Amino acid sequence: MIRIFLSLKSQYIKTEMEYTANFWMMLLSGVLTRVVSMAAPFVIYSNLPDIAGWKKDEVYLILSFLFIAEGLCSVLFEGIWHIPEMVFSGRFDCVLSRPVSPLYQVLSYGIGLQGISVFLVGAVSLPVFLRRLGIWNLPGTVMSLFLALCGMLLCMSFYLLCNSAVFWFDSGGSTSIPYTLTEIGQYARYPLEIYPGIVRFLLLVVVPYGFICVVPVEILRGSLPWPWCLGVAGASLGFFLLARTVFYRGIGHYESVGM
Amino acid sequence: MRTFWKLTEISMQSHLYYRTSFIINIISPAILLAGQYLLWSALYAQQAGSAIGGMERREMFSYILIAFAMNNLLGWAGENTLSREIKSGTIVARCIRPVSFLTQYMAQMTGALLLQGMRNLVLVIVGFACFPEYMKIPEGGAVLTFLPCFLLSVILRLMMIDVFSLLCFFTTGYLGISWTRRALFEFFSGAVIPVVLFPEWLKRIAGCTPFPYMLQAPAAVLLGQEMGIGLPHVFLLQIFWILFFLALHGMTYGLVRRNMTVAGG
Repeated sequence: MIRIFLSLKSQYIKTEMEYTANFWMMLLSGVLTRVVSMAAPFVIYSNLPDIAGWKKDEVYLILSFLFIAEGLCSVLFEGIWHIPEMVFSGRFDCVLSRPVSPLYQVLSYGIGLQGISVFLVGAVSLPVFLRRLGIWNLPGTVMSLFLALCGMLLCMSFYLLCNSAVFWFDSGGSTSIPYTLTEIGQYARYPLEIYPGIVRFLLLVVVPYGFICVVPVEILRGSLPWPWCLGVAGASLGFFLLARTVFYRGIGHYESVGM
Repeated sequence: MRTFWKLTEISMQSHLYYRTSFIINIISPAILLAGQYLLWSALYAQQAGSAIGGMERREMFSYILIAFAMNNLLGWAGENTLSREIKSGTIVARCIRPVSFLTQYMAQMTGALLLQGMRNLVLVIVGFACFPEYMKIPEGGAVLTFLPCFLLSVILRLMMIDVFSLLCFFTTGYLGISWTRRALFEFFSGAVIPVVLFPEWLKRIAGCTPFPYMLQAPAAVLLGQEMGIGLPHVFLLQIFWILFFLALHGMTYGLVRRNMTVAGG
């Protein structure tokens, strides 16, 4: 199954590369949007000495984890973002009529080209900031890789959960629910302790971006003990099971050829 | 003008058709706005003094509300209407109608803008009415100066979106172009962080682009902030950038039309 999955992805890349201008534009946009994202904390830190005791490099490390998770999700699981359009146009009927798991088909559908450069920005910045923070050693690197993979699973599960909302809401092929929720998640680009308790709860449990990028950095900087890695893994797995259940419940609600 | 308003009305109706979506689109910005306030409240709470980069808390809170309302005038779907039509090929219908391409585009965007604008206006009024002690209330004279500046900023933004959208004729896709445009706009216009907080060198770079005149300038006019240049200069720069994008539109659209074959048109 994994071999077919990767083979499908390589075919999608080949197809996209045929459209040269678009291919390079997508890669460029991935880099540019993330560089601009990094410029926001740069401006804030040029006016403030620190944020809740967090150094600038630690905030950049948070962003690195976020970029890796978002980039990998975009490259590997872009199909999730096509669910609303598939449901609205009735193309989801084709997914249901094939003798392969609908979830597998959705995950393997399409590719987010910008995800390649988003992932690369994260993959380059992660070691840079690990080194600058003095965590560039074997345990630190292994833990970072593990946490980045958990972040990817969590990110994918969250996207699936959000986009499955389209099974219940009429939306004309596009719903703002996933975008709004992922925008809320972007507030986890800064240390969670600056927010009130309810928002911290929201960013850890409801919109779990805290587990994708802030908790990993807290573990690496030593403000949380390393067994919290298991907590991140547990959250990822829990969210995946929840998203899978909601997705299949949604299919039960699907009325075929538009809603 | 009758054609323009008829097309605007059709655009508004299409936005109202999906009610759940319409309601969610009202709630979503409010949630995002709350997030902005939480972030800046937290940052101000950290400060020993009451100002960050020369901006007092009340001034910042008013800026956030105004900037958010202006930035949110067009959603992702609205901004990409033209790009999507180019990608799907349905754009040909616009090219063969007996109304100019730009008039059709502006009318359609005005339809989307009016609906969202009304929602945002309610949001701004409620914000200022409910939390006057946390906000710097704009003065009457500033509101009057703001209106033409705001109108020019909207036209400028629409023209910029139009030119970026036309580029989709050459790339076959629109996501890369749209993301690039949006990232540049949100950062350099001051939608995410006020341009006055930028370091001097970055402020100078932003000043050479059209983006601050789409959001930062009208917001600064409304709040009576120092802009570094006089008000007539701001108006002139807005008009200059509108003419610049109008010229780019003419060139790009001319190039597109020369290379486009409309089957059966």
